[in-house]
Amino acid sequence: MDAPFLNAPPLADLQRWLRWIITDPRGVDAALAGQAGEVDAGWIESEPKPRQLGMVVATPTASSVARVGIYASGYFWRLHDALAADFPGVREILGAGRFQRLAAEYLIKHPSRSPNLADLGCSFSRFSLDRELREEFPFLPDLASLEWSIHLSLLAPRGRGSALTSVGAGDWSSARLRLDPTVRLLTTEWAVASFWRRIFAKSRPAAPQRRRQWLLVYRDDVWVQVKAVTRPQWSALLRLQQGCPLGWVCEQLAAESRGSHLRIREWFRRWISSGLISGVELAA
Amino acid sequence: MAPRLESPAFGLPHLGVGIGLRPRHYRDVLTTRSVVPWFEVISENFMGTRGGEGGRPLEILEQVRENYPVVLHGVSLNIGSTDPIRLDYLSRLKWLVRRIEPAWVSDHLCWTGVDGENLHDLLPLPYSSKVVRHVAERVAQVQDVLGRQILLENVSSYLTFMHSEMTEWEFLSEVARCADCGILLDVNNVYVSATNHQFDAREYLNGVPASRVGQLHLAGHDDGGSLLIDTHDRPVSRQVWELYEYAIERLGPINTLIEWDDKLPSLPKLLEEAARARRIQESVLGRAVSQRAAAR
Repeated sequence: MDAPFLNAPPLADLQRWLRWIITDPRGVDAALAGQAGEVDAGWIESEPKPRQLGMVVATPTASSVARVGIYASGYFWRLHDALAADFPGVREILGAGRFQRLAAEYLIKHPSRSPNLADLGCSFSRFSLDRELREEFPFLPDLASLEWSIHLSLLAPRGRGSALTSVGAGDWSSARLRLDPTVRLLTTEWAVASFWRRIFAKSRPAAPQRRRQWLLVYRDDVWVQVKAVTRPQWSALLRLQQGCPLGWVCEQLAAESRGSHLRIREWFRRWISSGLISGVELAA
Repeated sequence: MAPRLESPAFGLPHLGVGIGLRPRHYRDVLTTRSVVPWFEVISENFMGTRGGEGGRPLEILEQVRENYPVVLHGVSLNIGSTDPIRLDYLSRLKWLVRRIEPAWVSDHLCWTGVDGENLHDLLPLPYSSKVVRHVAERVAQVQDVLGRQILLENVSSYLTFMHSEMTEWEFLSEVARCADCGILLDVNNVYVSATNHQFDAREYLNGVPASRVGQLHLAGHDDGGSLLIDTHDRPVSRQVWELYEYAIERLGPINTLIEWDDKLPSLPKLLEEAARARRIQESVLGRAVSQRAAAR
């Protein structure tokens, strides 16, 4: 090796500068030149000083800018692909170019702060779409929200609660049923559930209609299931998830659904057999 | 140099040649008893989302673990960063280690983020004694928390720094010695970095202490024109197979893993790559036995 470089920068300065240049959405050349690029100037982070490009070894085969550029390109595409994997419906609807732009803007506002790429899309459905997208695809936040719920359900642990058979006949009313951690409940303003299924059947569906849906997302023994349920059913599941006593939940369900006891019993039987209820807590 | 008959392998069990466990092959792996002796998995893929506990991928991994040894290979330890070690990450890793009981645990000699931001890339460090001390202290902290030694892998790199004081292999060896950890030597990464930075790949292999090498990686790379890119999306190249043979001659029959992440082939095709690595190990071993017999 040659003699050590005398003015070695602090490691933290070097890493801060590299983080800036690698993640800058304008690209390495434009960022170094201080050019505006296509991104809103207010979103651009200023360059940490001093500039560290001179610390990167250049060779006849590749300049220091080209070498840094490999990491910048790798950064964007790796995170873009992670978002595309978690939001396949959004990616399909927007097409490659517009999804790429949306991902780039999202990464500026919501850079990864987790060691796990699985957390990257946690703010994606809430991320404000630009005017053009919101006008053309008003259902996009709902679709993204559904896809994030599916992702969370897939990665949630299975519940391990007490068996329902351990409950005595007189204890049911005050018992609190525990919903499985894989259960996600969401409402959407647009009917995105069937739309999402058709995307995966590889049929290009018509845009979803503006119709409120109450959605139940859960994982069975194999994969994540998405079901549209009635509002009273959805509310009952939400109350169970919030820890309300079973007797009160059933009273509300009966009042809201005007359903017979037989019908309500059938719903519970189905929820239990589908694995939505993973345990029970008895009142002390 | 006579090929080695045995490998110290950093005291790790000898498992042979394994492959990475990836979602595309879950069904095949669970429904057929394949000939692969062990699997390596990306640790973070089985930790679940923030505050979670792994979900469906972990259920599958636990089923696989019933029949095969498994090794945990992380990508987010961020061991070279100037940020503090993330204790939340470390506790989740420790939880996963307890649950899976891996044969060993590894991550990369690099940094992946700073100021709380994660770039999810394996970024190179300057090779200096100051950085050796910085990394070694952090490895010691990790090993204390996990209650076990880890292996650190050399990364493919596309840039080096003017103020490096030593070669990459000296840096890797010094970190392993000072931290008392093992080395996961990625032969493809050695080849890619040797080409990108114009050093001799065999000199790299000669410079690494055999006693600390517990595992080898093999993977495919892409020729990006002026630089080679570590892509893990194609078969191992001829040059890397040749370098692997040299590594086995020098280090002995080390546990080896075929890494293939993108454009994944079918399981049988992937197993062909593993079989080729196994044949090279057997061939080198055969030569070593012959040479030893002839010397008597």
